[in-house]
Amino acid sequence: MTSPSWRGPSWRRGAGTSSGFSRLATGLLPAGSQRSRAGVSATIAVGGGIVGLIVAVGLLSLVWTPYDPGTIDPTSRLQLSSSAHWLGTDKFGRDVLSLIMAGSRTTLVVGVVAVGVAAIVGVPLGILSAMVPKWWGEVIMRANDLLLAFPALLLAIMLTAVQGQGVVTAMIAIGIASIPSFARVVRSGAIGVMKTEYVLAARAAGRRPWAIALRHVLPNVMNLVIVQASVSFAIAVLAEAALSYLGLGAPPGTPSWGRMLQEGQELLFVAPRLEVFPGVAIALAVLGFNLLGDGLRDRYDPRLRDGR
Amino acid sequence: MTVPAAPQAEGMPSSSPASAVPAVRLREVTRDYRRQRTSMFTPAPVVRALRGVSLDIAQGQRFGIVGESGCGKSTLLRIIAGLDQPTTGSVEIDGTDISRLPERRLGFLRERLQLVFQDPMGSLDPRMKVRDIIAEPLVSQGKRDNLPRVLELLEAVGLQSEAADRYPHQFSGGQRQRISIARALAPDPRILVADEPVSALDVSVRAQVLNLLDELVERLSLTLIFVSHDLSVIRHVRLGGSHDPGRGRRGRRHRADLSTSRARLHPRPHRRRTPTAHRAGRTHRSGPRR
Repeated sequence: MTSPSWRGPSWRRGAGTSSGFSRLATGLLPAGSQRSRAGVSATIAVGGGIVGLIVAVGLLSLVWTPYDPGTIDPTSRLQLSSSAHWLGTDKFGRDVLSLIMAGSRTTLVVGVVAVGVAAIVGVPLGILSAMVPKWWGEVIMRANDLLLAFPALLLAIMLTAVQGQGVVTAMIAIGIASIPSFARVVRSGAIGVMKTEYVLAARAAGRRPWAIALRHVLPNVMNLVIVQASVSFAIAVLAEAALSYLGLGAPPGTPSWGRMLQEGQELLFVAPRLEVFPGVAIALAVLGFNLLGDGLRDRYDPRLRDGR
Repeated sequence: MTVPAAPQAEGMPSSSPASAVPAVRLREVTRDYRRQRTSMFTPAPVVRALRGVSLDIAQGQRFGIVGESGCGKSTLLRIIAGLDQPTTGSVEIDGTDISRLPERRLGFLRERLQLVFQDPMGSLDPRMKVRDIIAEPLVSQGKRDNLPRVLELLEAVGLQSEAADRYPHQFSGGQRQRISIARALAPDPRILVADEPVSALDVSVRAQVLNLLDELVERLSLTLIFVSHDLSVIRHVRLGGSHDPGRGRRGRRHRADLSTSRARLHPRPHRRRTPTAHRAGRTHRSGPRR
């Protein structure tokens, strides 16, 4: 952390225009399409593509999966990939592809709800802390720091102890743990907005503080919120997998990538593919949302914009 | 062009300097800002932005405030507009003391006094359509269906009605300043405060915007308070007076000059006597200190 412009882990630090992710992403594309004139960077295109794919798979799984992901079939246990089971079957004879498809739903729902909870609480908190007198803003932010100090996992374990295991508990825990990052980002943006002349003009027009917050501050920090939502989504995907793996998230029977990792663990040396496929799915989802977030940030954050 | 109905009865302001209540009256207004503490053991340093400013601006007068940057012009305006509170002293607008009123009680002020800001980009919310920007003072007064009024205002400031549905970044600096003026005129104020409205504009556009201001102020017989660091600009809008030298660091009081006459087209800012009665006899400096 000796870097003077420490902005997060090295893999997320924007070096010029392209962070590690965007460089990786541009490498995946043919030369010449690196940054189209239309303004959509390769990072956004690739990230958006991956995210779109996961959403499409999730939607598809609502109406169709190759097999019923819940059906246990002892006659076809631990099969290798074949034309019947593209990704093989697990120890209960369930079709892995169907499980992964259905699991994407859990991932998406958990992500959406967790990010939603975090944004609904964090955004107003951030705006509020920027608009109240400085001293009160500090109090809010110190309380925020207190929350930031709790790892999501610890919070989830606490909540599970109180509420009992379940996807809902996991979602809420992840959401609560993501509140501080939203509040921080929004606060810094809102402080900037509050200093502008158009806020002064709104005051001179006789606008009440809540109207200024809603009409001026919120729309002008919305791009920050979108970027943060995308990044938080990636974190939520990972956290959900971790919680389910530890048995704190999805209960048995609910298709979830984290659960699949856990169930395949004992067969790691017999059937490593049972770990690989859900692992790849998780990695892909995290990569997709991170790329999207990175791309959106590069696009919206003028400090990282490449002179254009 | 039909803009707000305005009492055109009064002639030139200079003819009626004693129209009972002054539009703006400041008495010994000071404003101190606290800087960040530099040490735990010494008190926070205080910046005295304004010291003992007193002035009267008559109804219908055009009042100019000139001074170098950092001398407290904008602070003075914010205090007059009720966006900041003086540390000591009183501020009366049309006879009502606003210096101790909380912002939510300033509704009457918003109808009577409006501002045009310096930065034509920064003073318009980039995420709002022009119609919403101009209607903002009306909406905050609880008025609905403001579109006819917005179109009327757009026409008054010389913009097409199509402008209503566009965003600020689609306009040039001069056009944005026109939007800003339209917004200020929306609630039909009696007092217009302009904080360096042309200093961020191209020289070629300045004259147009100044002429527009001049014309509107004339037509609506508004009281105009105009801040600039440029005397030629002040001259352009035919302001009589000038004023407000310096930060008062030498213990010299700020003195706002009140001249009313339109006849004095070429103010001589240096070393001239202030015409205010209660400070009569004091010499007054203006313009850059050396």
